[in-house]
Amino acid sequence: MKAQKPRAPWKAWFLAFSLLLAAVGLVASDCKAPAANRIVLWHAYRGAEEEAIAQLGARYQAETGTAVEVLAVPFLAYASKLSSAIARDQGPDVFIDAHERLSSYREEGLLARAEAAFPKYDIDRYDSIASTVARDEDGAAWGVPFALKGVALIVNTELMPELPASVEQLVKARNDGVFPLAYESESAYVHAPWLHAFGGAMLGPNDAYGFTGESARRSVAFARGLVSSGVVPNGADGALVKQLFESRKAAAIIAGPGVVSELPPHFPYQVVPLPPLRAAPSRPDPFLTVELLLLTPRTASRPEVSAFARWLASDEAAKLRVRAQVVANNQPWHDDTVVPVAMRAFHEAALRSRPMSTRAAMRATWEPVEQAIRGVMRAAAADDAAIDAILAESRRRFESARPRAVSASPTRGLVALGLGLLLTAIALYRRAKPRFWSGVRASAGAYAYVVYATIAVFVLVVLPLVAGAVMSFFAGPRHQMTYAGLGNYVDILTARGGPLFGYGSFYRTLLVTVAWTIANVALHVTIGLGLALLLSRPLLRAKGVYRTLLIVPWAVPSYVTALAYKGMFHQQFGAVNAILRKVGAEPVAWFSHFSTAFAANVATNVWLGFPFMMVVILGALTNVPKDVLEAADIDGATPWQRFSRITFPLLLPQLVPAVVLGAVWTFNMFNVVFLVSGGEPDNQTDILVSEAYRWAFTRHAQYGYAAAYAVLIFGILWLTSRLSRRWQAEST
Amino acid sequence: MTPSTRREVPCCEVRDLSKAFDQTTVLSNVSLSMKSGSFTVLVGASGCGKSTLLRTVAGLEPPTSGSIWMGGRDVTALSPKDRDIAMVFQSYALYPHLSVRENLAFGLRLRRTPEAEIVARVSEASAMLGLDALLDRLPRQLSGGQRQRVAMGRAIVRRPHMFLFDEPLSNLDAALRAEVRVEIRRLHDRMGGTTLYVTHDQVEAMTLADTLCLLRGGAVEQMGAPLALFDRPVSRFVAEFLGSPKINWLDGQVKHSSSGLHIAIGGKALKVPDRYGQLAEQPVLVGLRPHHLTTASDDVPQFATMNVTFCEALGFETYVHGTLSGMGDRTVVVRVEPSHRVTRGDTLPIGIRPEHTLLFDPRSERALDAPT
Ligand SMILES: Nc1ncnc2c1ncn2[C@@H]1O[C@H](COP(=O)(O)OP(=O)(O)OP(=O)(O)O)[C@@H](O)[C@H]1O
Ligand SMILES: [Mg+2]
Repeated sequence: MKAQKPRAPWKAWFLAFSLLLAAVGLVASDCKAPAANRIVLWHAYRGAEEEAIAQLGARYQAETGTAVEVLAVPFLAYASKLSSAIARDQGPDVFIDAHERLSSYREEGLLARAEAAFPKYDIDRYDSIASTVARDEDGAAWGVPFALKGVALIVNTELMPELPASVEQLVKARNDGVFPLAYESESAYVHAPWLHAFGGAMLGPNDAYGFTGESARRSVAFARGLVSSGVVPNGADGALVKQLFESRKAAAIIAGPGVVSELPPHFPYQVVPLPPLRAAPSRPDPFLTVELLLLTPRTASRPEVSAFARWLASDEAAKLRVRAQVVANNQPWHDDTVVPVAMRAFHEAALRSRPMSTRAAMRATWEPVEQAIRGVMRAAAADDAAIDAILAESRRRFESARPRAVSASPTRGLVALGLGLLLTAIALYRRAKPRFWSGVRASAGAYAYVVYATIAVFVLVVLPLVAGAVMSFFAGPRHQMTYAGLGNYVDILTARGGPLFGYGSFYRTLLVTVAWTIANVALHVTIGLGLALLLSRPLLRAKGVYRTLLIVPWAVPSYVTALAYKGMFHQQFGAVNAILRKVGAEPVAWFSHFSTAFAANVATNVWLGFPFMMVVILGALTNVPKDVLEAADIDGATPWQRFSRITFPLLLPQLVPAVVLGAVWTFNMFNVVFLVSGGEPDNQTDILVSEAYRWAFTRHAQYGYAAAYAVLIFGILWLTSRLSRRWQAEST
Repeated sequence: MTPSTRREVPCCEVRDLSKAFDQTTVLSNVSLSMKSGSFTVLVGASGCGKSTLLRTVAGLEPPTSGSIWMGGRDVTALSPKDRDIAMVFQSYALYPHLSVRENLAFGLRLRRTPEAEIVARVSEASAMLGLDALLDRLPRQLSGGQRQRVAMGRAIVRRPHMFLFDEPLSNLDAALRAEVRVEIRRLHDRMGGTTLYVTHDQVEAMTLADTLCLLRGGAVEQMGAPLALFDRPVSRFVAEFLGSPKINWLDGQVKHSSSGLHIAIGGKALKVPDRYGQLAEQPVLVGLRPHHLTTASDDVPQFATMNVTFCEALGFETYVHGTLSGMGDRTVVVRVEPSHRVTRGDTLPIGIRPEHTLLFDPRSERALDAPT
C-alpha cells in the first residue's frame, strides 16, 4: 500500500489566515482614510443632547448630501480614546469636548486652530465668557463655543410656591418629610458654589491647591451644617437627588439641565440661578464648563469639514438644539419662540458661573477636595481645628500626588536591558536539549497548528504587558513622558518618602488587598462549599431550580450588582439600613469607617463570587466516589467525619486551583472596590488596582507610575501562583 | 474476644424484607437466618437483587418493609456505623487519599481506639494478608489483587460481628480468584464472625458456603447446604443455575408397568429413583447432570446413542455435546474420560446412572419430590 502523504493542513490555515489579515487590513485602512467626503463627529452626550446632535448630523447629510457619521463615545473613556485615535490618524474630524481639556489637547497636538474653518471668527456671535475660554494666551481661538454646562436651582413650585430670595430662606422652608434642598453634598463640583461664595477657589495661582484656609473651612462647615441639621440629605449621589425631586421628597435641588429634560410632563417646577448666600461675602457661583467644537489638524483643511463645523456652530443649528442644551450662541436666546423657559434659566445661571480652570492640575484637585468634604461631613466633631486638620491632610494628599521631577539617564537602563537579553539568550541556549532544533524541525507541522493562537496571545496579551512594563520606566503626562529609570518603583516602594504604612502607601494598600483577598476567598469557599453540599444531597427536590437561582449572581454583570449594592448600603436610603431601622438597630454609616466600608465591599464581592466556587465544588463532588463514602459510613464515620476526612480531602485537588484563580480575580477585583466603596473612607479601602487606576486617571495622569503599580501587582500574583503550585506539587 | 465467645452471639436475621426503588420492586419478602459464625452465600443471576439485599443488611439502603435483626436487636432503623459490620465492596472503595496503613486504621481512628491498639491490630491484619511491604503506599500504587487485600484488611481490623462481601473477587483473574477464595474462607474460620457473601460465581458459592441462598427475581428460591441445593434442587431454575456444564434435559413420561414405575424416553425406559415414591402417570422433565451420563460400559448399560456435534477436551476430563438419537433434539452434554478420543460426527453409546435422575413437573417446573 502506498503511504499517503499527509496533506499539509497548515497551508489551508495559512491561506485562511492571510485572507483574514487582508480583510482586517482593508477594514482598518478604510477607517484610516475615510471616504473622500465623509465627516466623523465625536461627542460624549447622552439622552436628549445625544438625540439633538444625531438629528443635526442627519439633517446636514440630508440637506447637503455629505455623509456625516455621529459617534457618541462613553464619557469616561472619551479623552483617552480621542488622544489615542487622533494620534493614529483614525479619530474624528470634528469633536465636542469641555474647555478644561483644551490646554492638554493643545499640548498633545490634537487640535487645529479654529481660524482654519472660521476665517471670519465672529466673536459677538457667542457668549463672551465662552469665547474667552476658547482662546489661548495670545488670543488665538482653538475652538468654537458650542454649549454651556452648569448647575442651577430647580424648585418644585408646589412645595415651595415662593421662589427663595436667598439660600437662608430656602433652607428655612421646612416641610414634613421633605428636604428643603438636595444636592450631591459630597461632590466637589456641586460644592464649588459655596467655596466661591466664601471667596475661595479650588485651584489657586501657580497650580497651588486652593481648598485650604478660611474660605474652604467656612464652606465645608456651612455644608456640614446643612446636612447635620437635616436640611440636605446625607451623601446623596446624582441619581438619588433626581429621584428625591421626582418623588417630591425634595423641594429644591441643585442640578443640571439633564434632570429637567427627564421630568414627567406637567411636573410643577421652575429653574432659577442659585440665590445669594447672605452669610458669605460673594455670590455662590457654580462652575461653568464650556463645550467647544474642536477640529483635528488633519482634516481642518478639508473644505467639507469646515463647512460642516460652521453649520454646527451656526445660529440656525443652535436653534435646533436649544431645546436640549444651553447653546453658546447668543442669537437664539433673543427668540422667545424657540427657547424653553427652563433652558433660559439655565442660560442665565450659566452667565453667572465661573469657568473652570483649564490647568491640568485642576483634575487632580477633585479627589483630595472630595475627601476633605467627606471627612468633614463624617467627623464626629467639626470645630475649626478639626476642619483645618482635615483640610491640611487633603492638601498633603494633593501635594504628594504631584508628579515628581524624576529623570534618569537611559544609558544605564539600556545597558541593563542589553545584559538581560544576553543572559536570557545564553540561559535559553544552555537549557536547550541537544537535539532541540531537529526536534523543532521535525514537528514543524504541529507548530503550524498553534501559530495562530500564539500570534493572538502575543498581540493581545504579551504586547500590552510589555508595553505596560516599558511604560513603568517613564514619568510624566502621556504626551511628554520622560525616562525615569527605576524612579517610579523606588517612589512606590519607599512610600513616597512618607511612613511605610501611612495612608495610601503601597504597603498599607497591599495589606488591605491581601486582607480583602483572604476574606473574600474564604467566604467564597465556605458558602460555595455549603451550598454545593446542600445541592448535592440526593433527596433534595427541585434541585435544578435552586442551582439555576444560585448561579444568577454570577450571570448578572458585576458592575450592575456593584451599583445595586452601593445603593443598598446608602446610609439614609439604602435597604440595609432600612432593615436595621425596622429591627430597631442603629443605622450604620457604611462608608464612613474602614471596617464597615470594607465589609460592604466584601459582601458585594461574596455575592458575586460564591457561585463560581459552588459550581466548581459541585463538579468536584461528582468525582467523590459514592462507594468510598459508603465505606466510610460502614467504618463508623459520622456525617461530619465523613465530610472532613473523606469528602474535603478528595475535593482539594480541584479546589486548590479554583482558589488560586479566585484569589487572583479577587486581588484584582476593580469593579467592586471602585463602584461600591470607591475607596472610601479616604482611599482606605482601595486595593492595589484601584490605587493604580487613581494614579493614572485622577492624579495628574501619571501613567508611568500606575504602570509601575501594575507591574508590581503582576509580580506579586506571579510569585504567589508559583509558590502555590510548588506547594501543591509537594503536598501530593 | 475469641471465636468461642463469638459463637454465643445470636444470629443475624432478615425478616420478610421487601425493597422497592420508586415503582420497581427489587426484593420481595426475603427471609434469611444466619447462625453465628456461619458463612452464607447469596447467589443469583445478575440483577436479581443480591447487592440490594446485602446493602440493606448493611444499612446503606432502608428497606421498604420488613426488619433486620442482629444479635437479638432490631437494627432496621440504625445507621451502618451502629450495626457493627464491615463490608468489602466489589470496587474495594479504598480511601484514595490515604495510605494503606491509614486505610486500615481509618475505622479504628474514628472510634478513638488507643494508638497502641491501632498499631497492633493494623500490623496483625497486614501480617495476615501479606501487606507489610505496602503499608505506606497509596491505593493507586497497588495492583488489583493488592487492593482487594487492603479492602479485606480494612474489614478485618475492625473485628466486627458480621462481614459483608459484595462480589469481592470479580475483578481478579481466575488463578488469583481461586487463591483468594481459599484465603477468605480461612480468614472467616479464624475470625469467627458471621459472613454474608454475594457472588454470581457458582464455584465460589459452592466452595465457600455453609449455607447457600439462591435468589431469583428478588425472592429466595432455595436455601440450604450447597450440596443439598445441588443434589436436590427444588426447581428447574435451581438445577440449571448450579452445575457446570449445565444439567441436561430430556422429555419423558412416567409409566406404570409390571416391573414398577419407570420413565419412558424415546422408547427407552429409565428407572425412577426410589425417593420419588408413587407418581401418577404424567409427562415429566428429566434432569441429568453431565457427570451422571457416561459412555456405556460393563457397569453402565447403554441407554442411548449420541450423535456427537462438539467436543470439549479439558485435559482432566472431556465434555461431549450432541443429541441422543430418538430422544428429541435437545443438546445433551456428557462427561467422558479424557482417554476417549471423540470427534464430531462420531456416535457414542451412552449409559445413565439412574439413581441421580431429577424429575420436574414440566408446567410448574418444580421438582416432583419438592416439599409443597
Ligand atoms: N438505586 C437504585 N434505583 C433503582 N433501581 C435500582 C437501584 N439499585 C438497584 N436497582 C435495581 O434493582 C435490581 C437489583 O439490583 P442489584 O444491584 O441488587 O442486583 P445484583 O443482583 O447485585 O446484580 P449484579 O450481579 O449484576 O451485581 C436491578 O434491577 C437494578 O436495576
Ligand atoms: Mg451486585
